[in-house]
Amino acid sequence: MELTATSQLMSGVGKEIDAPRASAATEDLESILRIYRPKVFRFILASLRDTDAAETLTQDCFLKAHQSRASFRNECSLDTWLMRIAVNLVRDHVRNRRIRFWRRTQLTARPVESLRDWLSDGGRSPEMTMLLKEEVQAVWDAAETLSEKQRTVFLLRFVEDMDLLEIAAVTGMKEGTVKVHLFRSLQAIRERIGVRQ
Amino acid sequence: MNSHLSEAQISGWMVGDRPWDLEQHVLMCPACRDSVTRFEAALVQFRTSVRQWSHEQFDPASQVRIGRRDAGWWLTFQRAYGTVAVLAILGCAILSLLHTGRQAPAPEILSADANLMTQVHQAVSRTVPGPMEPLMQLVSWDGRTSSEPVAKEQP
Repeated sequence: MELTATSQLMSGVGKEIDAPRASAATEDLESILRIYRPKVFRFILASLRDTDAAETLTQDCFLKAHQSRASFRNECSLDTWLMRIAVNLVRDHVRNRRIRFWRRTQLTARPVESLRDWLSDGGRSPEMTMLLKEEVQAVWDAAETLSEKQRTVFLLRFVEDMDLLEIAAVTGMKEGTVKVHLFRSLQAIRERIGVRQ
Repeated sequence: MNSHLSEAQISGWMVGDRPWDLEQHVLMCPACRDSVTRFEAALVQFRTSVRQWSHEQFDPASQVRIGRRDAGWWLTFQRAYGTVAVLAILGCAILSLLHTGRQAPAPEILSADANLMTQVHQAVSRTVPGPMEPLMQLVSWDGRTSSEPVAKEQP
């Protein structure tokens, strides 16, 4: 259903679209936004830890996808294509962060200090919950210290649940490179958890 | 395999490097199995927490505006407006300075200038420097001193 909707949306590129088709395209676009926007937002939010920046970049992601929809040729899934745009936006944002300090989004940024409060107890014992919270916080802290590539690969693997080939398609890296980045990120996180323990 | 899994092996295990002997060891060794399981649980909890947090932060009501964005040209307009304003202020300041420079000087300055010009004129008009002027009284260009009366010529 998603790919059909996407194909219909993409088929209108460069053509005169009559009113019913335009309406259908709009509906398709809305369905794409409804399906993929939370995922794109989640990845960007986890990467930047800034809600306002995540909202802005999520909008930019779909705007860019809409503008460059002509380049989408069903060579990959729409999911992969959108995530690739999101990864590029995050990378550019991180690189330009220092010179973009004057942006309004930075002035109203709501950075997140801790993730441990978002862990539900799930019926576990208080001791186990506390231990898990500590470990989640350690993973969160360690993820912040990772390089941009390592963090991207780590989040795509362990938050978005993508396999190595999907991550390679999203990031444009080779599968072996993805594996190396993932291995190093896990090493860093293991070290951090070890320090906590 | 007798020793426990190293940190690198556990990380490799999470990446997907699971050779047969390593799998057998994890199956047989409770300590290593516990290490792997705990790390996996931490990562699963991390994913759950991030998703929960993102879900709470996500605002489905916020609209994604596809198409021309007004913010871009508005920001450009604001910057252009600001630049013009700064240039106008600078221009006014420069014009003000120039205008101030062209204003008539104060009377006391005019008086001092006039005195100075008089002194310069007197100094320039002298044939000899001031200290030598008494000598000029004694010397005459036709062989007489200037103080000696001119004698009447003998017929």
